[in-house]
Amino acid sequence: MSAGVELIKVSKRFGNNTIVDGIDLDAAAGEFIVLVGASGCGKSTTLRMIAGLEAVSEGRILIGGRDVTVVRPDQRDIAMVFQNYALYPHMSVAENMSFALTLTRTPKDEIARRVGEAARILGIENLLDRKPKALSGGQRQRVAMGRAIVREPSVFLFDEPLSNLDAKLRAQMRVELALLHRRLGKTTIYVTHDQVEAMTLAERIVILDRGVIQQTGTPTEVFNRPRNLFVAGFIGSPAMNLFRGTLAASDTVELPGAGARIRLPQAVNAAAGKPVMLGIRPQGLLLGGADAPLRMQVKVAEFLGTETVLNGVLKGSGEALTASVSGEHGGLAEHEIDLSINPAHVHVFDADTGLNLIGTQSKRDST
Amino acid sequence: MNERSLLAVRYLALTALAILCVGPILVMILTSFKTQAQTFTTGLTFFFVPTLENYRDVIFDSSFGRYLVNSLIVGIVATLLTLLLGCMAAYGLARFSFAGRRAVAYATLMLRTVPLAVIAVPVFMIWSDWRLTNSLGGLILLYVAVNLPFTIWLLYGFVLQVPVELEEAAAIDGCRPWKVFLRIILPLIRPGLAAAAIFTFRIAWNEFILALVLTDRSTRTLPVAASLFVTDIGVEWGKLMALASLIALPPLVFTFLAARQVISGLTAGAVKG
Repeated sequence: MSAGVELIKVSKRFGNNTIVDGIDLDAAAGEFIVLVGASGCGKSTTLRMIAGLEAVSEGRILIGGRDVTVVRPDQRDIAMVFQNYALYPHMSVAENMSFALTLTRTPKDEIARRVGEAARILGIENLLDRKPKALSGGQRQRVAMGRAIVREPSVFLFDEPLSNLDAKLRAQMRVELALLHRRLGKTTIYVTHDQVEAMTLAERIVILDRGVIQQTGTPTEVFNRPRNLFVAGFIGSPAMNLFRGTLAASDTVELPGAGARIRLPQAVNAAAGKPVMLGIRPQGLLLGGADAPLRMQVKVAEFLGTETVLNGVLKGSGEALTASVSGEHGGLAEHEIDLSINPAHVHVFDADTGLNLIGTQSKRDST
Repeated sequence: MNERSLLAVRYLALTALAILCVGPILVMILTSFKTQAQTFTTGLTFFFVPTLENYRDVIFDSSFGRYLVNSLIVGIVATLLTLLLGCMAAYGLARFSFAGRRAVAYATLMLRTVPLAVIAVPVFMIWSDWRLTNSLGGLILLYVAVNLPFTIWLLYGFVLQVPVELEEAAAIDGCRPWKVFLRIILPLIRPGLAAAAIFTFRIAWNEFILALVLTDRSTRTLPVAASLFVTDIGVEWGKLMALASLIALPPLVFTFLAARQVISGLTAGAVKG
C-alpha cells in the first residue's frame, strides 16, 4: 500500500538558525517527488524530518493521513536509502536486507520470500552471502535499495542516493530507479542537488532555497514557467541567460547596454519603465535570422556531439551570454555572431521581487 | 658514515633493545629450572642440569590453587566490568551532547596519568574506611576504576569511527537506542573491546603494589604470592622465577586469543570512501 505525505508549515531551527522555514508539501499516494536545491537549502533536513531522524521545530507531518510528527522512525511506515548507503558492515547482504524484518519477528519463510523477491528485482541474488566490503559502489547501492524494498513501506525516502556513483553508473541507476518506482508504485520522496536527476525522475519537483520552497511543479512547469529568478537560474542546463533591462511597453523589454528591444511572448501586467530581468534559455537562441536582435562575442565554443554551447558576452553590455545551438559550430570561437530568439524561451522577471511577470502558475503549486 | 656502517649501527641498536627486552625473561625462565645452588654457581649459562623441582614446589604448594583462583577472579571480573562500563561511557561521550561533556572527557584522560603507586596510600585509607580491604571485591573495584579512563578513551575513538548513518538506518529498521547499541555499535567496536580487554586484563593480572596493600592471606593474588619467596633469610630464586614464569603465561595466551579480534578495517563497506 502506498500513502501520501503531507507537510504542514514545517520548520526546523537550530538555535537562531532557521534551516527549514514553514514549508507546505502534499505528495499524493504513489507520487515521485524530488526535493532539489543547492547544498544547505534544507532539502536533506526536510527528508530527515519526514523520516523522523530530525525533530520538527514547528508544524506537522502526515503520512497516509496519520499525524506522525512525534512518531518514532520505525513506526512511520517509511524506508530510507542513505547517500552513503549505511549498510551494516558486520552483516551479510541478506542479513542487511532482512534486519528490519527480524526485529519485527517476521516468520523466516516470509523473510526469505521477501529478500529473494527484492534481490531478484535488483539483480543481486548472487551477492546475498557477501559482506558489504566485498561489494562495488553500484552493488552497495542496490543492496541499500533492497533493504528498503524488503520492508514493503508505504513511502520511500532517498537522500542523494546516486551522488557517490560515477557518471555512467549514475545514469544507469537513474533508469532503474524510474523503473522500480513504476513497478512498486510507492510514494517516493527523493533529495538531490542534481537537476538532471530531478528533471528525469520527478513527477513533481520541489525547488528549495534557504529553507523556503521556491516552486513546486512538474519538470515541464518548472522549466517552462519558472516562478522566480532563483528557479530560472537553477533549473536548466546550461543555465538561463539573465540580462538587466527595462519594460519599454507591456510586451517589449529594452536592453539598454546592448541597445536591443526584445518582444515578449505575451503582454505583462506592469507599467512601462519598470526595471526587469530578461531571461532567455540558451536553447532559445538561434544563429542568424532576419532581424537578429542580439550580438554576441563568442569566447569559447564547446562541441558536445549534437549541439554546440557558445560561451561569451553580450556585445554592448558585456553581460555573460550562453547559447546552445544545434550542430557543429566549433569554429565560432573568437567571432562575433548575431542571434535571434525563440519567443517560447523568453521570460521576464521583476527586478525587485524576482517574480516571473509572465508565468501563470499551475493549480497544484503550493507556493 | 657510509651506508653499510649505518646499517650496522642500526642493527646493533636493535639488538641491544631486543636483549634488553628478552634478557630478563630469559633469565627468569633459566633460573626457574635451576636449584638454589645452581643459581649462584652457573651464572648466565645455558649449560646446567635442569630441574622441575621449583615448579613442583610452587604448583603443589597448598595455597597456589587459591591464589590462582583469586587472580583469575580479579582479572576476569575486572576486565568484564571495565569493558561493560567503558563501552557505555564511550558511547555516551561520543554520541550524546550534555553539559560538561568535554570536561568529563578530559578529566577521564587525566586520571590515567596518575601512577598507581601514588594512589596506594590514600586508596588503602579509604578502602579501610569502607571495609573494602582484604576482599577481592575491593581489589576488583580499584582495578575497574584504574582501567576505565583508558578503556573509555580507546573505545571513544572506535565509536566515533562508526558512521552515524548506521544508527539512523537501524532506528528506521526498528531498533530502539539500546538495540542500536547492542546490535550495531558493539559488533563494530569489537576490535576496540579486544584491545581494551588485553590491556585491562594484563594490568589486573600483573598489578603488584595495590594488590600487596589491599589483600591478606586468603585474598592474595599471584604476584603478591610471588613476593613471599623474598624472605628475611634470603630469596628463593628458583621458586620465585618458576612462579613468575607461570604468572606470565595466561596474559600471553589471552593476548594471542584477543588479538585475533583486533582486525582493523572492520567497518569497511559501511559507507562509501
